[in-house]
Amino acid sequence: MNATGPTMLHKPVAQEAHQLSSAAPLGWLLVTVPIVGVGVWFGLRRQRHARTHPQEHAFRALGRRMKLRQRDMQAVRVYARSAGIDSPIAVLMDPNRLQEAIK
Amino acid sequence: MMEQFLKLTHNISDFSTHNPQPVGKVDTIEPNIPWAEHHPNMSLPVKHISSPLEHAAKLRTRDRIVALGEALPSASADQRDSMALMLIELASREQHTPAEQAREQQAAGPVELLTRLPGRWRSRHADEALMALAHAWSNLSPSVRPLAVALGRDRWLGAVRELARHPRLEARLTAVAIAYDTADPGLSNVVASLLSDEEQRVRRACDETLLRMALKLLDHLRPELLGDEYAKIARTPHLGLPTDPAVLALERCTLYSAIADAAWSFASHRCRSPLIAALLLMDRAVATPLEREVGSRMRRLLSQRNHPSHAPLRSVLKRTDCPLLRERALRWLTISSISTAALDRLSVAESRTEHEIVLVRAHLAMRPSRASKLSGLGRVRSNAHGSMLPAPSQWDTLSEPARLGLMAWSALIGESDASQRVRLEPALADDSPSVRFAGAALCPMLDLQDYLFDTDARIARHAALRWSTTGADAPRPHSPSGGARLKLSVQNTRSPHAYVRRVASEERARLTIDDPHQPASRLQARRLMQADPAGFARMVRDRLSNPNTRNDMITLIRVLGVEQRFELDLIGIVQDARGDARARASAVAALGRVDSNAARYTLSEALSDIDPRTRSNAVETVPLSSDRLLELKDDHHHRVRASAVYRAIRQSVTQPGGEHARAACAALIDMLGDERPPHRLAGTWAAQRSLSSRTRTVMGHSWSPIVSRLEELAANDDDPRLRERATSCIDRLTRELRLRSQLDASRAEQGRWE
Repeated sequence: MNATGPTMLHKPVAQEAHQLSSAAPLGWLLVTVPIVGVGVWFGLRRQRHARTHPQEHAFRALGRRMKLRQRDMQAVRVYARSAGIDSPIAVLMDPNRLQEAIK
Repeated sequence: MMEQFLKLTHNISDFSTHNPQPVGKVDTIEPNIPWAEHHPNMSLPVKHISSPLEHAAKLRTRDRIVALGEALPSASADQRDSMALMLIELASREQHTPAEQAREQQAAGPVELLTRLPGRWRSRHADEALMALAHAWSNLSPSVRPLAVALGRDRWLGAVRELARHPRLEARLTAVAIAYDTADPGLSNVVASLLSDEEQRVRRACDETLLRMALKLLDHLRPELLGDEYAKIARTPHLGLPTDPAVLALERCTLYSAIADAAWSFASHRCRSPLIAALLLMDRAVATPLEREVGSRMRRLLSQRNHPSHAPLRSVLKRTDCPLLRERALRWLTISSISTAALDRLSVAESRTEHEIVLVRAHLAMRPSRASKLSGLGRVRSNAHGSMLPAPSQWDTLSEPARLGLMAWSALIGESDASQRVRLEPALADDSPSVRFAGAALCPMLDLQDYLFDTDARIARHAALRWSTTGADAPRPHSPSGGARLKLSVQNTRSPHAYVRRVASEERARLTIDDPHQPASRLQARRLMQADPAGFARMVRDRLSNPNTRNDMITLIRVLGVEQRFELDLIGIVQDARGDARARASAVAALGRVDSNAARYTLSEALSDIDPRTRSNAVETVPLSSDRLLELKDDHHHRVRASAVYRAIRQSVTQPGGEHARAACAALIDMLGDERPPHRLAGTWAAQRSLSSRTRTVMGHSWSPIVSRLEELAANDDDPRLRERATSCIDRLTRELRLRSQLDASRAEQGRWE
């Protein structure tokens, strides 16, 4: 009897091979790629907007930071245009003008 | 500056991060927002309105820069400093050393490129912040501007160049405003290029800025040289960009070049400041060689008569209220194309400074080409604006060089004598010796005599030389001008200055016949005698009647050899026993030449006169026999005795007679050995005149004792006058005998050859 060899008493049970469907990776790709792509697209769009329209981008960023609503932002724009102010950011940065604009 | 910056940035950091206290009118805003509580649609919290800077500080860097840059130009006074300091903080970046800059420009690997990205972003943001500051330059407070300027000169130069290319008018105006405030010569190219801008406001601003930059180079001059307007511009303090002074000195060449280019391209902008700047800087005294090279380009413009800028250039030269340009006009008088305008400018000066600046350069007018142009200006009359030369009342306000120049100028421009006399009249009482000296050299002859009495010897001497008639015909003695001149010369013979006394005495000799010892006086007498014999005789008689001039007139009569004509006058003098003994003796000597019975009789009477001088002269002149002469050799007076001995020896030469000659020589030896000094002196006088090679044979054996006696007197006598006279006698004899022996030797040699 071979002391080092396998015993005949236990016979391992042969496991069934778990095979994934060939469509699963494709599904994953279909889910992640658009999500990432859309995210990158939005990011690039935002960067381009920030680069091409810095004033507008800064105005929006500041408005968001100041928690202004869309209609308040619009009021600020209208006030700046009517008051002959070059940039609506100047209105945002001036509390008195901002008060008048929103009023 | 750094402390101020740190203090302000500390306030900002407190404000933006830790301190919720809003800036400015925040405290006053809160009660004025009724809609925040009552209006249902207005739900905006007050704190969001009250601290916009706090919100801006939390924006991303790019947005923060844009927000601050957009808000700063129209920010209120209480907010602008805070915004500006935030921008300055963003704009500041680490200054790279040249080695680091060179390394950045080298090719890098991908990793290095990635690691450099944050630095590049920071650098880009800093440049954008600087541009935002540049756009808002006009709204920056004076306390913040030095901090902004400290961000770096090269960065500001780049920002201004970018602003100058901006399509918006305000941006270009801001670029010019920065150039005006900093007056940095490195911005001159930008300003010069904007001179041709389509907007008139920009052109006007550039016009002022370029002029200010040019005047900054002249701010070392005194303000009055630039005129009120330009001095005010030059004195306005500027905000210098930080740089090395050596760099600025080199950048001045850029300014020069920009001004030269702008002046040459005058047709494209029609602005006058390049022309004014070119005229002011063209001949700048402290210019470097590089600047002079550019200046030569400006100078060429002066001679371009057909250039569009030439007419405005002439107009600027004539009418610009800047005294410095009057001095330039004097310099450029030699340039034919601009000389007319320069003459117009020189013909009128509106202030004392304009007079001064030209008069101190009066030496330039000595150049013939300038002098010929200036020579006609003497006829130009003063007008309401001013005159060419300062009024006499302004004399004291001028400096010494200007006063000197005024006198030279007055002579140069061809003023009339009357005008020139009025112009130079104050020089007589001037404190400066140099001015008085020039006055003595330039004043009309009418005023010259005043300078003879100057306390300064140099001035009086110069005036005397100019006043003297040496080398010219003196006026006639009896003419009015001659009389006045004689009176002045007599007065000046008592001058404290030796040279003036000498000139005056020589002048007096030329103007009178009273001084026969002076050749000029004798010449004057001869001329008068030839021109007007009767007048001459009348004048001589007048003077003979005057005891003070009698001696000189007798000498003159003897010098001119006109004793015959004045025989009676001379006899009258001799016969006047109470008259001056010297005059009588001189008259006796003069009568000796008159061959008439009356004269001879008078002279024979004079032989027994009580006055020894008269007797002595009679002995010399009266024809006497040898016996009679030998009688007189024993006269008790040394003069008579010496004259008799001398006459006897002289007569022995013409009338040979051995006995008389020996007796005369013996008398001479006795005199030389006399114990009385006057007799020895008179004997030496007789020996001095008697001993010669001609009388040696007559004297015979007496020659040697006389000579040895003379040698003894020259060596041992107590009287110095006698020693001197004996020495000179021996010297003369030695020279004469030596010559005689040489002559004999040469004759013998010549005879042997023949």
